[in-house]
Amino acid sequence: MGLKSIISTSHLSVAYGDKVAVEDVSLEFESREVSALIGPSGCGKSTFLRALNRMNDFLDDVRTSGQVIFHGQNIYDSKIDPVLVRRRIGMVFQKPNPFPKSIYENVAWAVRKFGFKENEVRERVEVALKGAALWAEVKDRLKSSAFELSGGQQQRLCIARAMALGPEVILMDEPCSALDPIATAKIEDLIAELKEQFCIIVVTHNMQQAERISDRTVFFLNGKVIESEATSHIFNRPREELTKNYLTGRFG
Amino acid sequence: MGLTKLNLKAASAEGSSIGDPSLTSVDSHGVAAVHAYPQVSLARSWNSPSGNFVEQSLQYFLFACALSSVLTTFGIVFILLKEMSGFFSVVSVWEFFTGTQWFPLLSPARFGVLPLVSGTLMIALGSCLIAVPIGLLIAIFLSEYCPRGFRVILKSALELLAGIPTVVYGYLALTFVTPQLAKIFPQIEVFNALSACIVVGIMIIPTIASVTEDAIHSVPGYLRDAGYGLGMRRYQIVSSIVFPAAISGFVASIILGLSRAIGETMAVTLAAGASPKLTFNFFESIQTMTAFIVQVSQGDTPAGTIEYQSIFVVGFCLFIMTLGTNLIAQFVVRRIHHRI
Ligand SMILES: Nc1ncnc2c1ncn2[C@@H]1O[C@H](COP(=O)(O)OP(=O)(O)O)[C@@H](O)[C@H]1O
Ligand SMILES: [Mg+2]
Repeated sequence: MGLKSIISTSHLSVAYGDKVAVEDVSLEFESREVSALIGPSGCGKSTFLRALNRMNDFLDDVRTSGQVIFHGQNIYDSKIDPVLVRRRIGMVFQKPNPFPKSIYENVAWAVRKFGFKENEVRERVEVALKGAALWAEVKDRLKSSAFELSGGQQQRLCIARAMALGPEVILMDEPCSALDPIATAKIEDLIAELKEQFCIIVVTHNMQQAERISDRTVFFLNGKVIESEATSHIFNRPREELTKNYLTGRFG
Repeated sequence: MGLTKLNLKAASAEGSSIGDPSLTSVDSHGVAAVHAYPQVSLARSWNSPSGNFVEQSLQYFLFACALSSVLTTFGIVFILLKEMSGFFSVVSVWEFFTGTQWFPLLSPARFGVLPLVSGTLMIALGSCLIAVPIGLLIAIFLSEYCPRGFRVILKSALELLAGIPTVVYGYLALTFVTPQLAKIFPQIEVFNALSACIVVGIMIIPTIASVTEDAIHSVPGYLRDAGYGLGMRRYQIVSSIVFPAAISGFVASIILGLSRAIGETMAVTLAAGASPKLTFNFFESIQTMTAFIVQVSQGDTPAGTIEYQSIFVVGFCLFIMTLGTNLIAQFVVRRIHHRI
């Protein structure tokens, strides 16, 4: 296990009932790095991502085996409180999902629940909105409903919301799939900036996007990791035949 | 462009000129061409194969159905108003709405409606005070916390509760609830508002629980995911995200419950008795508007008398109260939606 790796999996498998969705995956993710998870739909990318902060706990009939090591602890250990894990490993979902609250409250709510004073909350909200490159667009209407924002702005609000808690890892599941190209470009720029502070693991079905934003790319197929390499390496000289076939569009 | 104009002119000059050879156009090479349209009748007809007859009759039939409910409403209001005018030609409106004594069957008769209103309000508010918190907690438990196996049991129990005839509730109030209450509050009367409130409260718990649960259930899962993704605990998500998003359904459930409690007759008559009194003492016997109507309807009060007419006036007041409750509910729900 590399010393720099902040979160890693060891022989991680996840099954829904009898169906194995993720099989024996051992990977390491480092801080200040963007990792892209690619692969055809249904290959287990989302399942793997949700396993990293125990979001699979809410699905029925899920069995997880193997380990996810975060700060040297297996987050599936019975002594671990999954809520505390999720506070340090944030998540951004495929479809922007702001709360039916004001723009300000969307970010402030969880921060406040962590016991911060209202002036600290305000400060954190501003820092997070600036960090998510949204501040300039919303600073004059923090009290209006988050639903008045465009899809891309909503997704950046969701990123701000996750950032405001000061996580170390941010998981993103196809964060741009519901967005138009301009909004997508903004999120991609944002990811490049967030890399300075966080470990980012992003699922994408868009290979060009993986190539543009990630330092490392992991190729999943049928729940297994086929190849995990530096992005420039995997796109130029893939080691595996399957990876080459996928990247050249021969299946998926 | 010129071509289109030419065609339009030809068509409009002829009125409907489908199949008319004068409707010609010129292609880009200047060669005239005749559009050959098949002979198709487009006129309205009753027996066309496309089912025009069915469509039309269905439309009239549906309209008649809708109209019948409008006519019924007008009919009821008309009858109420007719009997009311007779009543108010004897009793002054002022006396009716401000009088604190209701003795329609004594002589001299007293027609102050306030005792009946207070009785109705006591039952409605008292039973909601019991049913709303319990119904809400059941709804939250059912949708967020309940293990799947137990959910089926709980839902069937609620359905069963909703299916028990109201007369049974009244009987239970009299023979079970009141004796139990008497052990705690020895001063309680045999007929009392408290036991009526308790059984009516139990009666409306299923309504409040199921309508609220539907509302909570329809809060999209991705909002919960968002909360969990932020490391929030379930009670925090339920109280700050899910419940506010479902609040209009919750308000609607309260109103439904209130309406039922206001309109409840049998259980209240059995449990709370028939003593119209302007009081807010739950240990005493009272009379609600509905209970009074039952009392007079079942007696041998001849039609046309003032006592007989009084039940129509009370009925009208009941109608206004329920209507008012519904209007307030709509207003509240709209305000809440506006805020979000
Ligand atoms: N909640 C679930 N219940 C049962 N099977 C699921 C569930 N979610 C995903 N799956 C199955 O697990 C496999 C992997 O799904 P997923 O992780 O969503 O793939 P991806 O994100 O790569 O498209 C798929 O075959 C899918 O049908
Ligand atoms: Mg997916």
